Amino acid sequence: MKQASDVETLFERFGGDARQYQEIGRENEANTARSRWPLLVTLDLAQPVIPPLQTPSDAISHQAGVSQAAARLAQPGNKPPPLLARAHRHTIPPVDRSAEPLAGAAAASRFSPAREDSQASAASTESTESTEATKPAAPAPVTAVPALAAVRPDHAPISHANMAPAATQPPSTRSILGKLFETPAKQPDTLAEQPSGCQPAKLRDVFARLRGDAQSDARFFKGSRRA
Amino acid sequence: MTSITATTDTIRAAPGGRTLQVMKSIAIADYLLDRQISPQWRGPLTALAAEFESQISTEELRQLMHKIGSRFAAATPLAPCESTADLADALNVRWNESQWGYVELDDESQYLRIVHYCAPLAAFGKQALKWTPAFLEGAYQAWLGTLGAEGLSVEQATEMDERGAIEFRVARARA
Repeated sequence: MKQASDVETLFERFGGDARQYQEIGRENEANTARSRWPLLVTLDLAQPVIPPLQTPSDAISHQAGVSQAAARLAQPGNKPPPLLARAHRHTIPPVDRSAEPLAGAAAASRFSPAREDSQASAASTESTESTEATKPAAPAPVTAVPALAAVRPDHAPISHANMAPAATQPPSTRSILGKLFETPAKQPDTLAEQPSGCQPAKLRDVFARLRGDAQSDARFFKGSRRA
Repeated sequence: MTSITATTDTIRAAPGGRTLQVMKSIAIADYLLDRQISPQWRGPLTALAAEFESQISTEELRQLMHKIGSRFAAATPLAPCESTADLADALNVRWNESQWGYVELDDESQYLRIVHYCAPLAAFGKQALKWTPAFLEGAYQAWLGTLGAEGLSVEQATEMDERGAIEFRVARARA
C-alpha cells in the first residue's frame, strides 16, 4: 500500500491521473498464475481488481516523506527523475498462451497426459519385467548341472568351488549380489524356453530316486542323470 | 584361504588370481547384507538368542527352529512344482518376497543339494548360527513334504560360509 500511495502522490504532483496507473508486474504475475493453475480461470478472475491506491491513513503516514521529496526537488539543480523510468525488479517470462484452453472443458482432463505418461512408463516397466523374466538367470543353476556332472562324477565331498557354473551365464548375473537382488522368474513358461538337452527332471522322479525306488533308479541311470 | 572360494566365478574368470579383489568383494557383500538386517530387531533378536542359549541346549534350539521353519512353510505354501527347476523358482519366489536371500538346487545322484545364500540369520548373532539354520531346514522339509517327498529328510550339511551360503541335503531318511 505504501508503494501505491507513493505512486498516486507522484501522479498528483505532476498533474497525472493515478487511476490510469497499471501494475504491469502484477498483471504479468496473474497471467503466469493463470497459466500455471488453469482452474483459476474457471473462477472468472480474468482481471483481478487492483486495490485502491490510497487510504487516509496511508496518506497521513507518508505525508512527511512526500514533503521531504518535494523539498529536495525544489532545490536548484535537482530535476525529477523520469516517471516510471525504473526497471522492473525482475523479468517475468512470457505467458504460454497454449496452456489457456485447458481452462475450459479440457481442464477436466488436465491430468490426462500425465496418466498417459504413467501408463506408458508402466507399460515399459512391464515390458522390462517381462524381458527380465525371460532371462535364463533364475533356473540356470539347474540347467547348468550337466556341466557339473562332467566335473565331479564320483560324488566327491562338497566343494563350493564346483557349484557355480560360470561358463553358462554372463558374469553380471553370477555375482552374489546380483543373485540376491534379482527377481526370480515366476512364469513357468520360461522353463519351456530352456535349451534342449537340459530338460529338468520330474520332481516326483527325483524324490523316488532319492528314496531308492528300483524303477526310478533304472530310469535314472538310463536317461538324463540330472535336472 | 577359504575366502578365495567365496566368489568362485571371479577366480575362474581370472585364473591368475585376484585374491585381494575377491576379498574386497566379500567385504562389500558382508557390509550390504549386514545393512539388510533391521536395526530395530538386531539387538532384541541377539538378546533373545543369547537368552535361549543360556537356557536351552543347542540340539533343542535346533528342534525349535526346525518347527518354526515348518510353521513358516505351512503359512507360505509353494506354487505347484513339476520339476526341480520349478522347485527352485518357487523357493526363490518365497525367499525373494521376504528378502531372505536365494537358493540353488543341484540334483546329485544320492541327494538333492540345496544351497541357500544370504539368509539374514546373522540377525540372531553369529554365535547363534549353530542352531538358527535349522529354521531353513524345517522350512525345506515342510515344503518338500507337501510336494511328495515322503521318506526323505532335509539335513544341514555345512555351516554358513563367507559367502553366506548354507548347504542342505535332501536324502533318504535315516532309519
